[in-house]
Amino acid sequence: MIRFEGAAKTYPGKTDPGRGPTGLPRPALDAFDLSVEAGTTCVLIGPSGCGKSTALQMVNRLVVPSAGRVLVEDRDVAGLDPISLRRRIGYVIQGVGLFPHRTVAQNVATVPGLLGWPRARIAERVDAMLDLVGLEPGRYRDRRPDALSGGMKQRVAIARALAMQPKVLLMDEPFAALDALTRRKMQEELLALWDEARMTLLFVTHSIEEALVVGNRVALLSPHPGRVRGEYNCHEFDLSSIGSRGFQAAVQRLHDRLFEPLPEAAPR
Amino acid sequence: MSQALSPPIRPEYDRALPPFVEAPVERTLPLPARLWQQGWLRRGLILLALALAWEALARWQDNDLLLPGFGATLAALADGLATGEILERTRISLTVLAQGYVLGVVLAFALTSLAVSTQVGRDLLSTLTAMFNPLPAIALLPLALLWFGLGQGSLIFVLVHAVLWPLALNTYAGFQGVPDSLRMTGRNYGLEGLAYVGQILVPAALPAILSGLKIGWAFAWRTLIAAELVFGASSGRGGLGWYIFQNRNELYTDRVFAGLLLVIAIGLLVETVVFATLERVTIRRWGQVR
Ligand SMILES: Nc1ncnc2c1ncn2[C@@H]1O[C@H](COP(=O)(O)OP(=O)(O)OP(=O)(O)O)[C@@H](O)[C@H]1O
Ligand SMILES: [Mg+2]
Repeated sequence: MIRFEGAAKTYPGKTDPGRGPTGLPRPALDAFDLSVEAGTTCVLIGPSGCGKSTALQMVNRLVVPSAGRVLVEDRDVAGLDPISLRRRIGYVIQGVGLFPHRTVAQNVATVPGLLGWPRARIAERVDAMLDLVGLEPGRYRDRRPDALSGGMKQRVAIARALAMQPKVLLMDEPFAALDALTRRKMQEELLALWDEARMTLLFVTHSIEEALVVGNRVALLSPHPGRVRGEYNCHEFDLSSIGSRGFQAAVQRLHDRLFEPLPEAAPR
Repeated sequence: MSQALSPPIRPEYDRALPPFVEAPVERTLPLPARLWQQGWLRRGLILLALALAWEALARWQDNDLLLPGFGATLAALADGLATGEILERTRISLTVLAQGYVLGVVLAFALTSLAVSTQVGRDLLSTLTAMFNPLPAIALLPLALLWFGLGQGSLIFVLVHAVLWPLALNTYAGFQGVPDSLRMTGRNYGLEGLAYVGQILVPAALPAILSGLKIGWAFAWRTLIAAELVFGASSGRGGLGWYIFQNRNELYTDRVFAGLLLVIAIGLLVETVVFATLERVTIRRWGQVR
């Protein structure tokens, strides 16, 4: 399980949100409270730059909160060894981030390799992972990322994140750069994967439809600083609900909420 | 789009596609076209044309002291190779070059590694490169002679200067251009220090690093030959530049040309064999450049 308790982050120096009327730098994330129960999926949705990636990176301590705390499996991540924490948590980075000079197999084997697994065990795991994400191992194992399409790269990135069979998975806009058809296919596969492994999944997207399909629950974030504006249940929807009346209504509701203006800042 | 669109508006259509039949799509080109696609053949023809033009010009000029022909130059080169003199000179030059080059490369990597990890290192690198990069290496030779005397030390000093700054500048620029997602990946997998530089930054910045190595090589080779021309032999063991200078003094113009030809040939060889191979097995294979 993942829990944010009043987590906040202010990046030092000048950041996009700029400074407020008091001249203080604006936090990227503020008073962020959110719980994701073990074995459930939660989707973060909100305008660009509102701090979704920041929130995700707090979970595996790539970002240290300026205030508040973040718990993973009931333990404050501040007290855990960051390296072993990160190797335990799967993280699909925004923008893929595959190593260009390594083959598909070597990319997937990153963490097992760092942990010094024997070769045979690594090869076995790599093939299993490639199968899992729908890439034929014999055909793709030895290719380099450059020789893959965007969708295939994304699959490799997911295979890499899943290599340690993590209990907690973070995915930052994993399907953002894909066409509608591939995207649908990947969502289908992700849901099947999750159904099998039941990991705790924190997922970021810009698509309301995708949020409703992937999430058991959706958290809507405000523009900078990111705060949770509301959480909505959507466990009843899956890919077959798209187009149904209830689904359309839910999309419309989130859409309206997203466009609702924030109250004006009160002068201090 | 609800603006008025001026006619004609063409009709919509759906088309039922027949199933795709797999068949080879490659077509064979006629022989001349296939030959013309061979890069080495095109370049070979250009070289041949240049050699012929040279020979023709020399015959028309008819003065071996000013411009020996291609044939005469080749003869002088063969002569030098046969006696082993020119080979020995080349060996001396290349030994010094290798020492200076390697030292320059090592220093450049040390400097850029410092620059990516500390603010002081960054300031140091930018200040030093701004100061020294525009300074021609050969201009430091008088100073080097004062410090290191007539010998290899001075040559290595100017060579390091020729390699270090352009390589450091290129490498650092390459490091800075590494995408954030890749940096984040590296940090996510707990890579730090040298492992981070070696596994994340260097591979991603390799196109820039290789171009820095190439520029460094060209600067170094040029600087070395020039330096040898200026101060020549240390204890009677001069390199290729000294060979050229000596033979000019004795008016063996064909040997001067043979020396120059060899300078060019070695430059071409390193460029097209060493660096091209390096590129082929790395950045081309990884798809970082086309
Ligand atoms: N390393 C950093 N240094 C300074 N500012 C940062 C840094 N990372 C993020 N920011 C700022 O913090 C804010 C939140 O960034 P974040 O990447 O979390 O947004 P996001 O919601 O993921 O956006 P997007 O949907 O575009 O990915 C942005 O305004 C960004 O400019
Ligand atoms: Mg983001």
